[in-house]
Amino acid sequence: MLIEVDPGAEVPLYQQIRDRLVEAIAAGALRPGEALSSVRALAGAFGINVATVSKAYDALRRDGFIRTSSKSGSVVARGPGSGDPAPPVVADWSTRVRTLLAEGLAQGMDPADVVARCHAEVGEFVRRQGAAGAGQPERER
Amino acid sequence: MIVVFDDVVVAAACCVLVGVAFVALPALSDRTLPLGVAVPAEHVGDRVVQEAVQRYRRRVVVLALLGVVVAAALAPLRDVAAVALPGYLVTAGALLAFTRSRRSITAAKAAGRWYEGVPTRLVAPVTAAGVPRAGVPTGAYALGLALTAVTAAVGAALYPGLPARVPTHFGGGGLPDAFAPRSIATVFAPVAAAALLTVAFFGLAHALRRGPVRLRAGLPAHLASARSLAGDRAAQRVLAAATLLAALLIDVLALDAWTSPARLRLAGPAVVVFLLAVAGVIAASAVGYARELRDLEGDAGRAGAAARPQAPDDDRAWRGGLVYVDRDDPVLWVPKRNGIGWTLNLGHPAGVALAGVLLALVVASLVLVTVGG
Repeated sequence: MLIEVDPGAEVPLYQQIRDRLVEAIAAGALRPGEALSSVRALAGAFGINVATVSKAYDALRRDGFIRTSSKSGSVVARGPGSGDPAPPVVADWSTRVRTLLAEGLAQGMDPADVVARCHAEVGEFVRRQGAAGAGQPERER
Repeated sequence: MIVVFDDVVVAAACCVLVGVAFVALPALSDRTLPLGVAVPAEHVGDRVVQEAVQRYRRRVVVLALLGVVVAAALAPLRDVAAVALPGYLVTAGALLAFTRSRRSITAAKAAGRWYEGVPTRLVAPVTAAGVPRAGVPTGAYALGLALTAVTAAVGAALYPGLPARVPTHFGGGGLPDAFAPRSIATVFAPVAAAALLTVAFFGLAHALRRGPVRLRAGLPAHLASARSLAGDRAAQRVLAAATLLAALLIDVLALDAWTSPARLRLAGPAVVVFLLAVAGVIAASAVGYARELRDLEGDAGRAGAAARPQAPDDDRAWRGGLVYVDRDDPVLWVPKRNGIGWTLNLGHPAGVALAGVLLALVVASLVLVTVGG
């Protein structure tokens, strides 16, 4: 699976890597148990500083999306079917959703349009999960 | 039947081969990297780009022809240096032509702000499985070792009949100019070197296979993987064929020195045919690779690649479009920007050290050839 980051964007590269990986997990393109590139290999593939990728993986690990062991390296730890997240995770996510939705309304977006976009985005992730699930056999673990 | 290569023929052939390789270089590169300058897809067809490439090719052709003239002029010297020098001169001249010819593209790019407003992306595989890599052509390395073993066996059979003092170095015209007492070390040093070289490059091929790939943005995922695999495969083939060729040359020269110590005959026609076949494999890999690149471009065009975000302008990391220096990049070897193979990252501490060793080896071989060993 390939991911793309924008070297010219204002969003820092580590944040972009983190976000693209979270999106890939949500879309079912990366499944729980799937092994990720090592920090060094991904930095080498992008041709960027190792510290940048390390920072992205740290952020993913902190949020529980991946886990790292010396034996199997970094693997995807969560996914659409991995059960309810811990209450603090939901609380933190809710806070950020509130701010994000507020930004739309504060910019004068139509509330119905905001809700419609939420529906569309979630619907798209679910559709891609279905496509990813049909396309490849169920993984172990 | 004995084929004797005249020195001037070898020198002229080197010039022509170097010329052909440099003329082919733009065809062995991404179209968004003309003469090693990063260019957005929409500017690939610009006149300034096309003209720069044509000018570069014309200059290389002229240089190769000049090299042939120099080879002919130096022929009366009957010196090994006269054989090697013209090829090196053409190489140096072609590199200079490359760096000079690309300047007009760089200037037009800066003046026209070609990358302004062009969305750019870096692409990488994120799973441990990565993208498909080309395998190491084990058979070629095994063949090199087997033929070296056969050569060593022949040497063992000939050993008792060899003179007490054996030639260890040959000068112009294949005449020996250095001798040493016959011993296992002096007689078998060349074949040992051939075996060592084959094993070392087999190891290098595996190391390079484990190294990261570099994907360039601007292609759909499956084409980006195919593009990377094509470059990888061509590089592995050429590395294997070149290793086989080098080992065989050493074997042939060793055989020659054992059977004809008074004057090198430079091999019978069968061996010449075999060497040409290996050189042909290298040429065929290059032609096949150039064709694959064209096909991929066609597929990319049909898939609407021009509308996709482009690879970023990374000219700063490529000095003269040839030498890669990026301190942030943790990788030691990266795929070459133009042509087939990998190049060292001189921004990597080990890259500088390794480049120093390689340069020392080249200088040492030149000194050995010209001064005599």
